[in-house]
Amino acid sequence: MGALEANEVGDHGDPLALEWFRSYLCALARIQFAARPWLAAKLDASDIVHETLLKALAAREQFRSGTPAEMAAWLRQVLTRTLANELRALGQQKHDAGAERSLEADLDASSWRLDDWLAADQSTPSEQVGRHERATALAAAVSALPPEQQEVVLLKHCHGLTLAEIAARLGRTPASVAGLLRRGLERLRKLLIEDNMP
Amino acid sequence: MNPPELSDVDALIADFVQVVERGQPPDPEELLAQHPAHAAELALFLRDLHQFGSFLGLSMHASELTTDFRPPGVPLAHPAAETPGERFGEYDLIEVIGQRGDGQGVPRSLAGTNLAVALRQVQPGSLGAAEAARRLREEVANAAQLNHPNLNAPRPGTDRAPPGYVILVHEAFTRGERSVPYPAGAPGRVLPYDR
Repeated sequence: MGALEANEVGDHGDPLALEWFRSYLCALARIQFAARPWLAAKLDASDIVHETLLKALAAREQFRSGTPAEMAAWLRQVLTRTLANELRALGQQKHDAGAERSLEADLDASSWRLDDWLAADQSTPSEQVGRHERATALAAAVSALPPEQQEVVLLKHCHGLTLAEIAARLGRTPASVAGLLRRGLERLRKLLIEDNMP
Repeated sequence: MNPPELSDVDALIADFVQVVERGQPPDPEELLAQHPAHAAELALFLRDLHQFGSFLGLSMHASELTTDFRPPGVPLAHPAAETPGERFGEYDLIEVIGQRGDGQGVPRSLAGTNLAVALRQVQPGSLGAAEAARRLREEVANAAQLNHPNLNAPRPGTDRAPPGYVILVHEAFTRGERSVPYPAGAPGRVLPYDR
């Protein structure tokens, strides 16, 4: 993962090392919550991430060694399982492997693209210190988009659908979807850059 | 609520985005030059796409990975044959599943973890990266009839690939299990992970 450089975290069993990933995991969780409004109404992303980090700390022997990128991948697995467990606890009595695979796939795709976005940061190294905070701010900005723009952005980001596929799913023309995408990106820019959204 | 405002700009943007999605090299300057009446709006969109394209998986540089540069009729080259037990970047090779036109499929373990992965090296140009990922995901699920709650989607691992190759991996988290289902040719076959 390009956004996570070697030697940025210390001993992987160190709670402080795990804590370093909190903002990153929060961003991933918030994007998943934005894509699933019914989930956001029942759970809090920061609580899920807190529980994820506690589970990771308790199970840190599972992660024997590796780079920060590998640790991030492992933490995403723990986050996915934590979310899946919460889904089951919310009344899905049966184990829904399909829904969990979908959740995992969405989380994975989301993390690759978020990492790509962070890695593409053109700022100076000193300005890149808050990369994970930038991820959190982007997730918050996506959550603040008008619903139709947010839906198009998330279908693109989480599911990787093409413009034509999004159009078919939403019953719109590709030009209409492109318009929502254009206005969505414009709004993201204003929220993140011009309004300096924290 | 009024319906979203449609404009010629949105139609132009739709065409442009679909070019990017196909992995064809987009030419923003040509787009602006061809449509001077909409140049200001298009330029704003291009700036936003430059800013957020990677977040959307819409990198305008994706053509480097997805465009087929081979002359017609020239077959793909394959990476050098590997043997079980060999270390490859962050992966330990378990077994070569097979080698086909679009790459070499091998199961590996991810060093330093108890993750086992199905991995394919895909030469850029054989398939678009997204299409290759979709195919690998389908093959893994179909061939092994997997119903594993911790099965991940493939991810491109370009940082460890041999020159000219993209690595796609499909991870299954073992959680201490002694075996992991794998797409090893026969439907439902389970590849022992006891190395």
